[in-house]
Amino acid sequence: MNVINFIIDNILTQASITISLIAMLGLILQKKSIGQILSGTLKTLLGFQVLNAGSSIIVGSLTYFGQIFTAGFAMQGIIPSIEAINGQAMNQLGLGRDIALTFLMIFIFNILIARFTRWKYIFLTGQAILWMATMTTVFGSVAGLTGVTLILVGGLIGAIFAVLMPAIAQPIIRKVTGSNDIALGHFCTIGYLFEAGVAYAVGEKGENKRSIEDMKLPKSFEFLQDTYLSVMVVMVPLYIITALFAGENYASTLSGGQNYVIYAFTQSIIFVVGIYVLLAGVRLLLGEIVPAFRGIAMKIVPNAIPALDCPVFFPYSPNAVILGFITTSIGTVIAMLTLPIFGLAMILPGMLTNFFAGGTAGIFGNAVGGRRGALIGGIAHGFFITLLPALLVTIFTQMGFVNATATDVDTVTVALLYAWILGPILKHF
Amino acid sequence: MFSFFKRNKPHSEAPKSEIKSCLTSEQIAQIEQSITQIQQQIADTDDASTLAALYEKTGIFYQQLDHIDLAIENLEISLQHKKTIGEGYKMLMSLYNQKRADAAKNGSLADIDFWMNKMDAMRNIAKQVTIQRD
Repeated sequence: MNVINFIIDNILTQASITISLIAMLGLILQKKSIGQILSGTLKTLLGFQVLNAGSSIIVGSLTYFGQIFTAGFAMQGIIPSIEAINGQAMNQLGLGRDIALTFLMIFIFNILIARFTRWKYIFLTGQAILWMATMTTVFGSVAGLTGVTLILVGGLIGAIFAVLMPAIAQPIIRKVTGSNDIALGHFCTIGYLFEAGVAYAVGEKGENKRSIEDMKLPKSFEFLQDTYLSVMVVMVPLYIITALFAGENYASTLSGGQNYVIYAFTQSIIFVVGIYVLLAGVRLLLGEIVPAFRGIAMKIVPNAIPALDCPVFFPYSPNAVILGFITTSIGTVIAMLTLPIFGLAMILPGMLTNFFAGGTAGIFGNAVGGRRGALIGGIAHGFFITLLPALLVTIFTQMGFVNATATDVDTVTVALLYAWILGPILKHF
Repeated sequence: MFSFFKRNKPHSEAPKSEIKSCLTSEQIAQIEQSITQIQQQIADTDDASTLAALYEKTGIFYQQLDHIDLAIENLEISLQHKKTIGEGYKMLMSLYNQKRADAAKNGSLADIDFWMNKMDAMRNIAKQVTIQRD
């Protein structure tokens, strides 16, 4: 009994061990060799620790940024980064074990829904499932759920979204790809449908529908291929400008004798380093789990429709992707400037979200409302995907998250579902 | 707009076997002749863009003949010469998915993993080429 208690109290409470055991389970079910099981399990363990290290780096940099932003602009400046939210939830808030188990439950419930209903979608974007598990766990715990209930409810809601989002996007995806073979597995789908709705309302219809002219990004935008360069391009000027607004007198108190502008520059690079380390950890963490469970899912649901990450659909409408990126970026800048007027935090635009979510939204806008639909819908989309995360800032701040908010709008919607509907209901019990 | 709560209707696309049987013997002969001509052109050039286009055409022809493995092989060579996101890309993605579905029906985890990894690689090509198209 003492041994069991020791295992429960000291080993299974460790998030890194829990998630490694999940990976081990997947590898055993795949009938891998002992060597592969051992190396896969250890890689997952390593991945979790690397993720934690990245999170600590990000928090240090974000704390500094929050201080200079408040001093410079007399308001809260929030960086939209689901990676930062995940890292802080797993590490600083101690929710790692629950997030890991919720992640597993989303996979399991997704397989069950696809197996026993006519919605055959298997969501295969592992990173997105991790973000969803993070949000259901964080907001489930805010709503008062704990233990097994927190994990099961989070797993079920996450899995419902993992099936529902590809399903509701599928009519447009079918129109774009001309087949029902693959589906969209990206938790920004509510934003895509929002753009499609706007495009339907204001766009061109029938014979008047005009296609987007051939559009290409200038060579200078090639940095978008590199995740870290994309983050750096935004963060370096952002930190430096904010430090300049904060002023030398204040910013120097934080720079420890170093020139305050150089210090701001260094901190922006440290933020990017944090993202680099954290995402390397996520890759290690998911590198073994996702292939194992997607294989099992496909075997259990042989007629599954795989829901794949958004760039898979870029070739079907590349011009719409570019237009979507540009218009969404415009929308996020408009939202950044206008939301503080209504008492909300200033949400700074995220280049990566604008490209991937904006680009995919452009495909939807173009498919439904042609060029005009994609243009107006894209700007509306940019505003929408900035507004939703802004609504979460107060809750995140109260929970102890440092200057960050979530990005992917489906996960934000789940969070709002917990905060506005599930939480108040649970208070009556 | 959405058919989420309606019963599934069969989609209008013809099954693969029907597509194959639609080809007459003359059409098959014509396609095979085209492939031979393209193979001659492949032998005569070493320009990467031209080779990519020729292998892409060959792959599409093989797909029409329902020679899936040859189609995949040629479309992969095309992408090795030059990454593009045209018809060949879309067809290759579709063929990978078809192979993945076959592997799932056969219950082969190793094959599912093999084809899913190939689909993952296509995602990266799409991202890269969308940003830096010629």
